[in-house]
Amino acid sequence: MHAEMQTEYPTLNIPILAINMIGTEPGIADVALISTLPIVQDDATLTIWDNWGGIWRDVKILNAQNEVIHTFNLTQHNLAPGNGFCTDSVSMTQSSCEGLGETWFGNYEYLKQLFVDAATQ
Amino acid sequence: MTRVSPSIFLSAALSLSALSIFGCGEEEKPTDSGSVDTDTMEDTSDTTDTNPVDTADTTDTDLVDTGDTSIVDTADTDTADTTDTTDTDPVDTDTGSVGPGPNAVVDFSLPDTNPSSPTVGQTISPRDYLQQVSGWYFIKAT
Repeated sequence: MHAEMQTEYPTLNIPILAINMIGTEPGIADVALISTLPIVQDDATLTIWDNWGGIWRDVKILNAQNEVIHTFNLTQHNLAPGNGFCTDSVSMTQSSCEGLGETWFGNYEYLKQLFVDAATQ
Repeated sequence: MTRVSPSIFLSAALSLSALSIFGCGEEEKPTDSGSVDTDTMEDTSDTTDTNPVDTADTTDTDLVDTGDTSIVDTADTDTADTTDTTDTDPVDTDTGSVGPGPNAVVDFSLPDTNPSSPTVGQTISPRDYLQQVSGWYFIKAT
């Protein structure tokens, strides 16, 4: 997604960074095999997760004043293709959602649009 | 015998009354010689200048120059210096709201630990991303 936004919206320059949970430092080598995102390691002194109120797989979008304006959890909103949510908060598929006249949002597209909208406000 | 006019008699009476008020009883009193002083103590012979204020000089009769009746100089209506239109400051310091907002996240400063990241080893702080939107992903690197 980061690479996509850089290509599609080069002027927005939206960085995405990761904050690794305390105690999972050894796994960074594995993450490095699949991701080039900058990663900072939380520790018992800083307790960034606690201070920011973050939980596993949260994506927090900060505005230009370093304030959280969106939190989008990727466990609740899987970014794999086909996953999304309906405006009726009930329908689990795009077809059933749109069959009821509601609007379907793909998780991936929705998160991407949150970034773009935040950066273009 | 000299006849005393009523006005002179009244003037003398008032003078005696004034002396008693201010306690001047110890002063040497003039001897009553029996004659009446008809001098009214006022020089009425000078009738040339009857005005205590010299009104002869009519050129400038006002102590204050009232020629300019405007309190504020309104001739120069330009309050800004518009002659200097060149920006001599190489850095634009007007960046709007510069600092973190009232609900800004707690700051930190940590190195990038991802060996695959182009910025590995460099210090990262959320304050590096003021004035732009940024995304922060909470991961368990397992």
